[in-house]
Amino acid sequence: MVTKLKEVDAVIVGLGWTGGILAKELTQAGLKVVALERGVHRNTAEDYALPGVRDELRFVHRHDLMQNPARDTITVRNNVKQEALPMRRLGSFLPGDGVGGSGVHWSGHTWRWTDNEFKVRSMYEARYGKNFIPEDMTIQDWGITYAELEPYYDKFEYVAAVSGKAGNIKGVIQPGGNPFEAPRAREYALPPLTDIQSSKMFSEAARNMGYHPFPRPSANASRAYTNPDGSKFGACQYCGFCQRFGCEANAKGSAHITVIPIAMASPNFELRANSWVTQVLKDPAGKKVTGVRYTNLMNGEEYEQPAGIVLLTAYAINNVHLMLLSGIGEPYDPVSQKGVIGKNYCYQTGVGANLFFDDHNFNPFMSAGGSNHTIDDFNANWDFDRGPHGFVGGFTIGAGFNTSLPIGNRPVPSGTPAWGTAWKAAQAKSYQTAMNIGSSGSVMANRYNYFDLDPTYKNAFGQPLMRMTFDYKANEHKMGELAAKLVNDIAKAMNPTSFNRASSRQSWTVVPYQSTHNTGGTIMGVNPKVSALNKYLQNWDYHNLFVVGANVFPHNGSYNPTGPVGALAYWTADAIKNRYMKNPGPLVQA
Amino acid sequence: MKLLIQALMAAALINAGAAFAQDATRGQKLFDECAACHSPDRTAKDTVGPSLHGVVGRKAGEGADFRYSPAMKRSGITWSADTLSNFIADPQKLVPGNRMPYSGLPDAKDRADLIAYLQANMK
Amino acid sequence: MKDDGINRRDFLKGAVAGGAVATTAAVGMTPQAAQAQQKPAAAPASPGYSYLNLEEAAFVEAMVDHMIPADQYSPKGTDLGINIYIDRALAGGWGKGDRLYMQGPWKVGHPNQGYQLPLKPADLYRAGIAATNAYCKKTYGKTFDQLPAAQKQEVLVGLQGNKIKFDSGLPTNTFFGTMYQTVMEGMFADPIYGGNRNKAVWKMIGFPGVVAVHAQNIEKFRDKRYVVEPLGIADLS
Repeated sequence: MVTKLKEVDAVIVGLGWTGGILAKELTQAGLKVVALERGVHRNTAEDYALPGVRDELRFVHRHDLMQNPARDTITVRNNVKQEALPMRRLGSFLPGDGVGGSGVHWSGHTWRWTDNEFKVRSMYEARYGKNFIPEDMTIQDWGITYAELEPYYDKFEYVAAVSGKAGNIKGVIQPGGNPFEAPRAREYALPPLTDIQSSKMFSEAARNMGYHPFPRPSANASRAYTNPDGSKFGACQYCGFCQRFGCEANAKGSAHITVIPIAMASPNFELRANSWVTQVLKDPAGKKVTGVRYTNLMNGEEYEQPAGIVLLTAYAINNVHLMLLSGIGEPYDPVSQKGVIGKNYCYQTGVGANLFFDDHNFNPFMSAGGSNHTIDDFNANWDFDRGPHGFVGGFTIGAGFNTSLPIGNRPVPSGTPAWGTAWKAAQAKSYQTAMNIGSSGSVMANRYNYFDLDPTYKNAFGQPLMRMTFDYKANEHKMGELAAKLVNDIAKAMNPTSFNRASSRQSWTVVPYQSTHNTGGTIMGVNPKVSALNKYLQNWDYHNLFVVGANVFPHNGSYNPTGPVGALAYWTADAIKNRYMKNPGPLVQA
Repeated sequence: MKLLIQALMAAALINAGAAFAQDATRGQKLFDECAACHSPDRTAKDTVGPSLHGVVGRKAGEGADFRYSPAMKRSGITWSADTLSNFIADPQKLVPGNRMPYSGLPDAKDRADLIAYLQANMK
Repeated sequence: MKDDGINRRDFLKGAVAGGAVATTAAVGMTPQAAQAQQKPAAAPASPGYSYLNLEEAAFVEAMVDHMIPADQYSPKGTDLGINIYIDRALAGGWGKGDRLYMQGPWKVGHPNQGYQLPLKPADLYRAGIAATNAYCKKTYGKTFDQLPAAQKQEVLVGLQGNKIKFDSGLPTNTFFGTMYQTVMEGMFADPIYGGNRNKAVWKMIGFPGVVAVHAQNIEKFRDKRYVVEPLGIADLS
């Protein structure tokens, strides 16, 4: 028994950054909008306040703000020959749920991805020839340019209170910023965060080696701030409880303190939390979607919510899952390489070294989410010649602290016993005198890394789990080896008493935590043969269906994804408001 | 004699305070520092911190519809320009274990102006 | 730094903790170890176990006291309440697998696929203790808690390195990994969960706890140690 509700202009599935941005923009444009969020509705005053928010066990290790795999998870395998098994508990990545989504508990790192990514195939082919790109590397241009996205990056950065130092304003290189970034129209919303000691030492060493360190741009308000929408931010207190936590000072850019309250103040908007969408519904003619079906988790009742426009704005993985469950588009097949839904799933790679000092004290518990200095010499820097190294993509290297709390973050020198007095002695010394240099690397799309529906395992709604087939390929191994070498070189130059060397990741494993930067599966692109969505994130088959999130990225870069995710949400909102509403239909002709 | 000198010094301090020529208008701007959590309106609701409408003269941990920390409730402080200034200078120093996530406003003139605004904001 | 209220609260908590110490101290403890513990109080008030049975409690107490001995860095594991932490973790939602996908079919899989046992953490712990004690009895003629320190060390190293194989087929390193994780959680988590009593472990490493307003401390304490009396969640509750 499914209760059919009254039609609304737009239904939003998942209310985090992307859903929040679209909810605000579309209600302000006069649309009646309903948002369905599977998680609960939390707020700063009650849920992220002191002292309860300072609970590492609850939020970091028990995943209090994260999706619950007991209800829905994915199955995982490294290659098509393996049998996929369920990810029975969270590990490698931690998708959030609840109003505000992962934007509540992110660290705030906000990057502008450049044409190095958006034109990846054409730029590498032009410079290195077609043969440089391996046959099974299914990278493709995104169909969008940095220049098109620049105003939307700007908008997102100013809404989210991003603190940083510009490196390139309208083509003029700015001292102190990232000289390799693409030109921006103006400075960041706020000046950079105060440098912490570990970042400062890293920067000195990197600069001496000829690299170009800069403070990592981050949505941690370096001072009290009122954004262009009137949302108020407190100044970041460098509390050291950022990643995995809601911010008690309202200092972290999050949809739950910015766009969502604005949407909620509108009579055009309705939020239904605890509402789990199980399917997108289609009209029999196959031209439009008609709404969604969902279950109210408070009583188990099922509803159909008809809508003129359907916006999938859940976590990247969940968006892809819902597309597959709804039978929208042709599922991707790695053998025939036909179909598009599930294609080009990518992750990230990374290496890190721990450095131990006798003569420094880092106070690791004093940091913002973005307390980090970074070099982009091997990433956005197109002058870095990938030719001799034989890989596509790049990596950042950075150092600092982010949520370095004692249950989870206590490096000790290699060879230290795991318990006993000797272990305690090392622990007592190292907690404050060790620091880390880390690298995050891109992952290029590969024919055999993809999503489909699992043939065996089901979720709590009786629907198939999504199956993830993924592993690092030769491209990532080559990149990881170079990244590890460079991290170790910088570590040595910093002259620590000892350091645990960085080494390249070999194979992807579901434990431990790596990054919640899952991309692809419903990718954007230039035509329906190679992509699920056009450049406005509009589905090629059903023109009133838009899918927003990192699931639209055709490959993964080395930067954190939220910058382009937020920018693309504004870009899509503009396309809907200014073009689609006036003349509903495909915004790009196939 | 000693008492007299102390009294004179105290008067001088008060005068010095006045010489700051507290600027409530500037204080209102400085209130941005607090505005992510506190409202200056009497009827504020759903804010992270208590409303600061009429805070001067209020007993710490009382009034305004807010769940105060035990540390604040037992502080015994009545908010005056002086106690507020002390508090805002270093909140954890005056009331250790209070829950306000704020490290303090170090500049005395800023504090004086901010408090002048809060004093003016009593109606 | 601290006002009277907090001192009083700490004093009260210390008294309760001391009581628990006195109780566990009565169970087979060396005089040196008894001496090493802090301020035993008169009134015994053990928090008690809600999941562990007698054999399991003895195992857990012996294990945490071996892994975390009393020394200049901290009191020993039971005096820190790590045994209590573990019992509560196993009795609570985590132990009961509240965030674990528990539908079959069950397969061994590849290590890259993560945890695949058809056991909730509390079941795994119970089975692991039984299997370890069975191994100890077979090898040394005694249960783990009755072994001298050198043999306890041998057993733990054997579990850690997957050198000991359990007859039941339970994967040794999975049990050890879970057990080790709970010891670390009991050490470093907020004292509201029963371990890290008196924030002794936070004091050991210099972690300040819940009050963390550091906007001005970054410069003030640059490359210098920041020393405060740590505060936990209960201190602000």
